[in-house]
Amino acid sequence: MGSNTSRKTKTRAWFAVYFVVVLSPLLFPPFLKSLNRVEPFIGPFPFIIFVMLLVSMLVSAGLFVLYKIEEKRGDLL
Amino acid sequence: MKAFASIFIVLIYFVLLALAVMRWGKSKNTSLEEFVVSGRDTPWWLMLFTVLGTWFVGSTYTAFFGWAVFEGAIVYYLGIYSIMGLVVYYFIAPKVWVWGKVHKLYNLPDYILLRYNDKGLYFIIMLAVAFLLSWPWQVLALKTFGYVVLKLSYDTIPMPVGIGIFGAVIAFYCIYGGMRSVVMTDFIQGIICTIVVLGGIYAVLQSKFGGIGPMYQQVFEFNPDLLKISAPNYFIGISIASALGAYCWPEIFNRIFLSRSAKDVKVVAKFAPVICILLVALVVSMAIGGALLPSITADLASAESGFLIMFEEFGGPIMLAFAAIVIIAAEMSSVDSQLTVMGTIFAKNIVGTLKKDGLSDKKTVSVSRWFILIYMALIWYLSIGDTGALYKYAVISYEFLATLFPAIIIGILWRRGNAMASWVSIIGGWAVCSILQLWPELQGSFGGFGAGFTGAVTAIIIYFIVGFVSAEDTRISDLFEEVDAFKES
Repeated sequence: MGSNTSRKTKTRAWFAVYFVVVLSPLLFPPFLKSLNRVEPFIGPFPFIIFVMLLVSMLVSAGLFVLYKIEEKRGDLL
Repeated sequence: MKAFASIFIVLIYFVLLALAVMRWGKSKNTSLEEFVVSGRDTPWWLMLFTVLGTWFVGSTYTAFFGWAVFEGAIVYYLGIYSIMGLVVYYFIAPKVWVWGKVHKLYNLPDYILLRYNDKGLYFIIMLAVAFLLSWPWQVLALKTFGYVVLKLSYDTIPMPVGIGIFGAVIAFYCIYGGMRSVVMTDFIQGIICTIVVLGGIYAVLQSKFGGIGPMYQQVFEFNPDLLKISAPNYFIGISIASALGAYCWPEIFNRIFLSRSAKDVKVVAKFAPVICILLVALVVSMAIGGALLPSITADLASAESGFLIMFEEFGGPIMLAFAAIVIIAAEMSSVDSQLTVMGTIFAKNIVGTLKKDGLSDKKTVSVSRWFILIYMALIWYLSIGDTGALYKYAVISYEFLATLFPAIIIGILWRRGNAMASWVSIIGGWAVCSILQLWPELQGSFGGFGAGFTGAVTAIIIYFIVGFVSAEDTRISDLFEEVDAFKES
């Protein structure tokens, strides 16, 4: 149980770091200020709106992958 | 004639909803467990929209819509904080669920008492989250019902009547079936709303602007500033404060306790973000497009009715009815859970604690039902009056709520957090929040992130410092071990 708990904690810590890194462009003032512009448009979206949607999708993908890993290992609790 | 058509559609919808709730949302028995946590047997797909109800409230389609019409991209913070909230949910929910199952917890105050074993803290947090800080939001929610009915009836049904109708509907099904009917209502309405929002907004954007891309191009030519975040630091502050505050509402823990297993609790976090992103992207895009329409930008009231107006302009009374259903459903999904949980907190945690011999389960359910009825009548009365100043109080209450984050949420993840750390963090957080509310000019010295964010950060720092310097409590360590042990059993 001890090694399982340690493995689980490590995996979650890595994903916590992933979430912070992915969210950082929107949560740290210098990053946000440099990204806060309209052009170039990416697809139909202005640049900063595209960034916000991309960040949201990457966080969602992270949650999905973390769930799959924990489900496979039986570490959901 | 127009009013008749739109009201008729909404009436048909609610008759069908009522039949569905009476068929599938009826309590299986008269126990407290059944009334408050739906027998702890709810599968993930039934919970999904109840959990999403945390973020999608009626004001998403009214007040926030209006804000996006005038301020544009900053309102995308709704999506960012919802996604952050779901990350928090993923990490805390299984632990909370296990403690709920093992110790028969029903609500947030129950958890606080178990986690910190401090009655003073238990009462303070209970009074703050369940009563002092949440009632303005419920009054404003009822006001939204009245406003929507007024629009739906083309200004023929007065607001107090509309508020009364929906107040009675919500009180009825909360009293009738407790959380089982709440979950069933949220599920059915969540499916219908998602379909209406996805299909309806796509159709509106196509018909008015030729699609989402052309709409953004037109806004770019009209006012490019709407496509940038107007106040970046404020955006960061409200995103974080809202993500933290969302988990301090009394109904959140109750929503977790509904689940039939820890796995079901987590599956929700796998699917909910996708729905969140789609809904926020479409609603905010539509609102930004509204900035191009004189009928929406005429004044603040028109902007806040923009969702209804744009649907009506696209498809007449039928589409207006569907837009109204979306707003009503979103508001119902938050008010119904809050009401049921508050009823239980009043009956079980307040009356049951103060009464010498406590209350039997049957009596607790009965007192909860009476509370729901009387409380609904009270907030109906408050909502028909002038609520101009209430919106400000509601926003301030949310900022104070966010400072409870360490005591409530970090305590789930970090075993060194204790009652002393909670007390000091709450006092420190509320002091900073109060100072910045009383002297808003000081907020600039703290980066302009807002009083809620600054108060919450202060509370988090204090909580960690006091927790680190305190001796580890073996009782709390045992609680954490229990979660691992539960997995093995």
